[in-house]
Amino acid sequence: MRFDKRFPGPIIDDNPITVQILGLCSVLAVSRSLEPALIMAAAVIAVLIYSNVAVSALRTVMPKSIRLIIEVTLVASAVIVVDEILKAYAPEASRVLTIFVGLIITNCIVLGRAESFAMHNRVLPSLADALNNGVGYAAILLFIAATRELLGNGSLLNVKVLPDAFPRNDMMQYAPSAFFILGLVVWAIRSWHPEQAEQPAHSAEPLSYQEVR
Amino acid sequence: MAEFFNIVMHAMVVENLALVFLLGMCTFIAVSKRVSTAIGLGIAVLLVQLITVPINNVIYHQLLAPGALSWAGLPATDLSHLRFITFIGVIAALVQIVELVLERYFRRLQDALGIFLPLLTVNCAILGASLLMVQREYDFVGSVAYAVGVGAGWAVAVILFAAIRERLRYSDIPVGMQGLGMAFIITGFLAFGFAGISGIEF
Amino acid sequence: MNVDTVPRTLLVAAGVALFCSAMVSLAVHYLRPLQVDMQLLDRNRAILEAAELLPTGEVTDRDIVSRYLNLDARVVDLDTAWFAGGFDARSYDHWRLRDDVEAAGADDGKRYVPVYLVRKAGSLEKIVLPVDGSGMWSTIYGYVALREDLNTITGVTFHRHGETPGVGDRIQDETWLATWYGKRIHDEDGAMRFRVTRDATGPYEVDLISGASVTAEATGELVRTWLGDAGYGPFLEKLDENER
Repeated sequence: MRFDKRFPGPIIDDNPITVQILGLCSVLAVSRSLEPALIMAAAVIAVLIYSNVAVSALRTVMPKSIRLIIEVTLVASAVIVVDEILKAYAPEASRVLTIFVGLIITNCIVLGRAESFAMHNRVLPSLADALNNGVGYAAILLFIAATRELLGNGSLLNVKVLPDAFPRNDMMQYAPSAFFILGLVVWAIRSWHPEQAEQPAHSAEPLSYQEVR
Repeated sequence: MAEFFNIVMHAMVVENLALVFLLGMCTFIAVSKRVSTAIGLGIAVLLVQLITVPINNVIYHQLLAPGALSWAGLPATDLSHLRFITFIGVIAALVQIVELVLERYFRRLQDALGIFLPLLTVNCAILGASLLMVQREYDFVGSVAYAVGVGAGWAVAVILFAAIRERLRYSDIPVGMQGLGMAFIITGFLAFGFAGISGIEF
Repeated sequence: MNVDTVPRTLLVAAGVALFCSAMVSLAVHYLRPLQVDMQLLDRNRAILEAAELLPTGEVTDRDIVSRYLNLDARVVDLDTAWFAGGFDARSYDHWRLRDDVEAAGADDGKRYVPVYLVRKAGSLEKIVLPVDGSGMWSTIYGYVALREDLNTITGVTFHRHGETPGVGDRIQDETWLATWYGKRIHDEDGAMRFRVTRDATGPYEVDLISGASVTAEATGELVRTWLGDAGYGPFLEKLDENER
């Protein structure tokens, strides 16, 4: 069973955010502090697992004409349940996350993996795929959230970690800072794994007169 | 009239879906390497917002909101938790209908929009606009204004972004930063610009 | 099994629809009571915060509930400007009722509002009054607490609103709310003097939040309306006489 072989690799090699460019919206907007980010990551992983397993289980009986709407229905109902659970057990977090729990429905990772993997694979591999992508997403989200909370507020999970003398970076309070961190993370990953880097669209080498002649 | 304009400007600038709420980012980053495609995408988003937000507004306030079903004799029913699935269903259906109409009557526009239109069904910005419209408690006219504002705002943002990226093709960017990395940094700067504007209350 | 035939398609569609609806309905049915409790808890916490009855640090839900139950909750009829009987004041949620009533079009024009009195050894120490009004983008809901002179602010919270995140929601900023402490509503002649305004001076004015001026001004306006003659004004006068 390829379950454990697949597990650590895709977090870097096939990360849904930095390689597949999916699931960006929530990562950027929900990463101001670690606590809501943790809850968001848990919610996304839960929905991802449910959706991959359900789609995979139903893949042989899904009619072509209503395929997409069935996938969307499954995901949407899972998200509704998750949202209701959050409102009941973690209402503070629910208020911070506002519309982003609902937006898990349109989270490209969920539908993307359902369409490209779960539709063509059995249930257990689909479950593994959901875990891989979920953890990959969570890794990036939590890293950004931890950085923003640490540098912006000096705390982690609302526990003061940095001494008061350490200057707070107010820029981290704003969502755009997540973009900068993400850009730097992508740069770091691609320097570590150069095979992921894109080639420049335009060659910067100047023409030399010798060659033209 | 002034109220209408206010909502449009606020939705377009202060609460820009792409650069303040950071919605629709996947498409924003992935489909913005050329200005021409960005314009197509922007128009598609504006069109879909204009159609889905007001209709979702009517559906929410007539069927789903707490107390909305009093015309049917059920004043205590609160179906607001069904808004996720209702909105996405409505969006999927409306996008399909728009596609069919364009195919029949506005062929050129449909060719220009290409595959973007069906993709918009699952774009966070479209669903997000409907959800935000509920949160802001707009009435019908307000929701139309809001749709204009968010659609136009998103379009402007993606066109701006594509224009910058086109210029950057000729820059000497470190290999690890090429493409995606740089796209994030640029968007970050754009978003900061808009964060500055959000201090303005109209 | 060929699934693309019409009957099979309908069958699958129906099956998925049934399964998903069952799942959602069950979840909502079982979780709704807990959610309502959470909302009430939230509201009670806001009331206690305004009255400064919440200790700093960790507070358990049980703690909040028991402190809330220590308050003397009463319902006021704004038109007669006095307490009204026949209500379970502790659980009376006039905001929720107002939404329902508006939607059902069954407004009978009467205005009942719950107020919360803090008594110490029988005499009135503070009173917490619910207030609300239009903000820039949403309705702002909050509580104002007055001292026993029924004129000096001793606490305020704006626990529910939909103002611009990062901008308008600074009305929940504790440093700004602390500037409300000690401000007075009416002057000696009984004229309404309280304002939220630019360059605030004196015991009747609170300074604006720069960059969130519209939302901040809105909070000032709603407090003025509610504590004026159209709101609690007449009731507070009667209560004042009564407590002397």
